[in-house]
Amino acid sequence: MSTRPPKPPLLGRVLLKLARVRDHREDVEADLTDLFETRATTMGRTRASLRFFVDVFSVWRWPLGRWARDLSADMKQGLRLMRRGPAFTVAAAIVLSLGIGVNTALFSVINSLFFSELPVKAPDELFYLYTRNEAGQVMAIVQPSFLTELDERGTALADLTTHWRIPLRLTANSLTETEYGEWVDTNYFDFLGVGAAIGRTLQAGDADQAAPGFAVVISHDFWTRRFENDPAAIGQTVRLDAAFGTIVGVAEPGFKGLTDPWTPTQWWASGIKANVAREGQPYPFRRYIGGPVGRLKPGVSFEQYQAFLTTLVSEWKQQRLERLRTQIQSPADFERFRRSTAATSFPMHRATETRMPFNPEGRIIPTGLLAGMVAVVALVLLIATANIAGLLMARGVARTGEVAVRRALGAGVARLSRQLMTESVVLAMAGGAVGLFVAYTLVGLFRAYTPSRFAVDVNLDWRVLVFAVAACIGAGVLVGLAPALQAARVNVLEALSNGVVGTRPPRRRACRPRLSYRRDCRHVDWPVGADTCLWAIDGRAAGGGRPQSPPIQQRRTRAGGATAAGNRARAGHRPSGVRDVRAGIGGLV
Amino acid sequence: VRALGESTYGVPVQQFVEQATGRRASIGAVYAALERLEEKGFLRSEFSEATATRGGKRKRLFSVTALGLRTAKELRRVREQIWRTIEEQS
Repeated sequence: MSTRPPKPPLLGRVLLKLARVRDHREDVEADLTDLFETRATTMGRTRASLRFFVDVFSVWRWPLGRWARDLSADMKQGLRLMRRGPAFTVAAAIVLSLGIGVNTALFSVINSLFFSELPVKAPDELFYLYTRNEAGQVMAIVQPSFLTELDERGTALADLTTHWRIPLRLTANSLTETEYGEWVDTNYFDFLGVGAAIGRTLQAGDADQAAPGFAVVISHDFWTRRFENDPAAIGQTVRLDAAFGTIVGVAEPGFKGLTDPWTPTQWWASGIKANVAREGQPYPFRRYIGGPVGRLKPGVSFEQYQAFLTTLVSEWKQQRLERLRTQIQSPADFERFRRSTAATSFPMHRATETRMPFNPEGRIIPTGLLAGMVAVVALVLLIATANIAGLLMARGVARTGEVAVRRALGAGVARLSRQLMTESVVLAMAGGAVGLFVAYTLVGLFRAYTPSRFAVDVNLDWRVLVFAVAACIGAGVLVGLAPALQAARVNVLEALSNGVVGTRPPRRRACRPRLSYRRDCRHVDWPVGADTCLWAIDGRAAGGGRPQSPPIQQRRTRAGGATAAGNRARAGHRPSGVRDVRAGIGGLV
Repeated sequence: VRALGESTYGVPVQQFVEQATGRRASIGAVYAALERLEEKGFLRSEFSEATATRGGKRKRLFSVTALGLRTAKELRRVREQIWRTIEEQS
């Protein structure tokens, strides 16, 4: 009794069934099974199974090479078509470039607003801490007693600094303007890893109450605008509303504070804690300190710090209520503060995900405005693609014969659609290349005509390039959709019998037959082309078409001489297949 | 293909390539190469008769065309010429 050969693993067999191997399925499955059986006897079933999976994977990968070759051929065809019709190519590229360029320019602005990295050291480690009050408002401030608790108990988990943004009337170099700035801790710059372009950043001694005034670091932009990059700015006295300070340095270029893009920081002043010097006074409780910014210590996760914060907040609330109980005489007042304390929470936000640090729940661009802008520029692209699609459809009429021949030779609708779409994507890529130049120009104009204090540095980075390529592919597919649908509807028999073949307009001839296998089949190998044409004639005859083509032997050139094909035919050099088919269809040709 | 006789199929080719080169060759890579050679007209393929040993499944038998053979000989000639030139120079 013979033993049954081992079978390959079921999963492998299923995966093999799903592989796209067209007409090779039968022999491929048998080949792989053969290999498995041979290996199972020589190297064991387990190793044979592993090799079987490797083989299945290689069979899966096999069609990719074929697709790549098809894609390469289609792209070459697209480039050839572009070269043949330079006027059309230039017109299409310009129209598409406008659509793609405007979209890319808008995306580069959005990219800068939403995805640009903070110009500080390790921004992934940073987080902001807020206070959510009883009314549900989120504020970038915390109570001093809570910050003290954080400082004392959270040192092992994170370092902290604080900042508080405010617009003040800043008088410097004999000019007064309202400028946004931040009161900050003296460790602010070291904490963020930001240095000074000239002078120095803030130091621990700058916060001393005994120090004359406070130390001020100005932004590079402010230094350029107000002092025209004069190093003599260092040491000058500035006035912030009623207080005076001394400029000690200029922040490095590109650093515009931990704020939103619309209100970049122009100055940083020490003394944030001096502003709440009366912290020791217990009542009233409306004094706050600025918003804490934390940097997680190595190995500490965001979630771990949140867990620590939850415990700390609970204990801090309890301590606070116990203290208030002794300090507030009125039961009604105490109840009010108890409710307020119970409702207070301290949400944490990752710095990399917070584009509006002083208003974390605000939107950097109002949703309606953003949607409107996106809709308008998308419409521009859509109009451009619709225009090009129309032009391609018009050109598609001239390519009916080419499509018909390809379909007659066995190309499916999907393959033809892929070809036409690849051609249009190549065209869109040409448009995209010009579009990038348009986008670059638009971004340059945007930068030139926006206020210098605008905090967004719009640049064309890799994300913008990826977007532009995606836009090109999207536009190309959209543009190619209409010609692909048009090609799918081509009536092969009618197109071939009408003699509309080739992408070039037919030459004028004194006597042109309705179907000429010499002309119609010039793009294909002789036997296949001839069979195709004759198949078309045969089909027309079978469908009751009028036998109106003159015999090939009777075709004459304009000069009246016999054609080479006619000569060959008279000399009996026609392939036997042609003779056979002609014999079959009687007097049609 | 020619080294394996008048006609052969994927599995022997894959095993032959592994033996000859001493390196693993995936069956998919062998199929891809055979397909490309067939597209170029260097090989032709046809299905064999179904046999009971493969569960009734046919083999796709490949054989070398005259063009393929000519091209292979030409390649060999060119290679030998190049090596001769190298040897003469060294």
